[in-house]
Amino acid sequence: MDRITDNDGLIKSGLIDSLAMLEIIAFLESRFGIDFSETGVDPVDLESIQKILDLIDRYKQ
Amino acid sequence: MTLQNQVRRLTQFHEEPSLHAWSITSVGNFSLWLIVLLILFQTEYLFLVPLMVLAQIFPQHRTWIMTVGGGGLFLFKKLNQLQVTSPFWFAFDTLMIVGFLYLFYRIAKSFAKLPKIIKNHPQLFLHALLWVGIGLMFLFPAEARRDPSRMLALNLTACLVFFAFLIWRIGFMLYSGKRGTIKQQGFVEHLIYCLPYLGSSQVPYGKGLDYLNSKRSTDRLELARIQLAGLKLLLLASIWELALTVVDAAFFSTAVDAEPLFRLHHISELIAISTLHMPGPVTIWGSLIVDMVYETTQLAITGHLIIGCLRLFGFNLFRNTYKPLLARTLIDFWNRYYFYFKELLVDFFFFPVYLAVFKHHPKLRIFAATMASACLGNLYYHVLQHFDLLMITGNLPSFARFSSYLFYSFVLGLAIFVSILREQNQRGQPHVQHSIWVTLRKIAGVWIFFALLRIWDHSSSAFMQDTTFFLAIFGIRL
Repeated sequence: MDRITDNDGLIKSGLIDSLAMLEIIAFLESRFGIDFSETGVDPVDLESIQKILDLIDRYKQ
Repeated sequence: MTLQNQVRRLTQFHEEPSLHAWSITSVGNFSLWLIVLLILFQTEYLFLVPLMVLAQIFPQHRTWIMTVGGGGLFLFKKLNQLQVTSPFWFAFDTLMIVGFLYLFYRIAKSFAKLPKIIKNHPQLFLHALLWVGIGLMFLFPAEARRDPSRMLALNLTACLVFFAFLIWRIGFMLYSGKRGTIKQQGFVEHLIYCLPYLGSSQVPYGKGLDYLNSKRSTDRLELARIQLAGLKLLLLASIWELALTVVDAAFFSTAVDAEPLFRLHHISELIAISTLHMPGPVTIWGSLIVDMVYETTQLAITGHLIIGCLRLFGFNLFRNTYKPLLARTLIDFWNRYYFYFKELLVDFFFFPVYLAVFKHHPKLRIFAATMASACLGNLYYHVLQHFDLLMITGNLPSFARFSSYLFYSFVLGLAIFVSILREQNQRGQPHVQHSIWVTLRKIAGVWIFFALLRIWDHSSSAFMQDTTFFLAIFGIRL
């Protein structure tokens, strides 16, 4: 299997679907305490590993 | 190269690097637009071709070209539909609508300064405003709202109809305000999706500006690839159009001199007939299944034309319909059938509820969010969709129509919830390669479920009539 790079589109490549997105949200809430109810969910933020890392960084700031 | 690879190369022609390079040569580019012109020649999207070409030549002005050209066409088309023909009232309505959108743009731009209650619930605020407007319009008698001699009432009604039509798009604008992305976005950019010549429904194909911007081509070679992907969708739309012509001739033809091979009925016709005489099981099941496939194909054609055009403008968007008839689960069908409607329900109903309630009860959390979106949100969307009828004719669509749709939405919500749970349970387990028969059985199950569910969702739905028909299929007479 090809390696996934940080910038690969996870949703576009079929690697995650909307159900997996729910699991990512639940994970980010419990692991990093991110409160999405403040900002809402922008699926664009969850499109690649790099974007998820950016989201975590933004929240930490 | 195997035959399978050759077929794949042909169907995925838009991924060929050599074709990308060729399509930016003079001959290649001319050929591309010639094919686009031929496909769109007999469609309402023909007028967009010059705008697409201009957007390609002047990519730095793409936003203005789409806004002024597409927006102008949209207003012209919609106001004509509402029978606004006088230049004065045309200008009045245009100013009202654009002014209204600008007001919401300013509200979204100043999101941080809004009162806390609006900041916390911007979408509720937006919909509350619409319903206040509806309430105020009822101060005019229904006759005044359709009397050509009372132009102010008529045109204020038209503006309110537009507000209801654009409400989901304005919702996306408020989301940009909430996320703070609107600070870098101009008003004209938001008009790309707020004055939507592409697509005649309330569903914003391509969602809001944040999403569109994330899909925008950035260089000429990428634009070429996206344009070829757009061309592929237009070609697919033409093929499906041809397929429907064949299906029409074979099953649904009403021409006097062209009796179909085997007479089937569209669903509303089938239910109407059944009140007089129950057709045989082959006709009933044949009609239910073929009509479901027929309607899915119609939706695919519309979506392919709209997304195809948006790709030709340089936006690398997902298809609206992606092989739903091959889906093996209900949730998979729902994801693939009408992507941008599903996204609307997810963005405005599913996520807000999912993030707000039952955080420590995963299943209950998904249940609440699924019912809020697929059931209540779905129903509310359709109430607003009929709003133009209410404002123009003064007649509410009958309760029977909505009770039928409420049942449809309720069953759909429950079914999607169960399907989500089943998929979640299968996650993490070793992948099982099913035989072709098991796969076909799963696909058939999805087809039968949606074919039956559509009994409560057609142009002349009424709950008792639809339910009586459903029971009669299984030999139960009320």
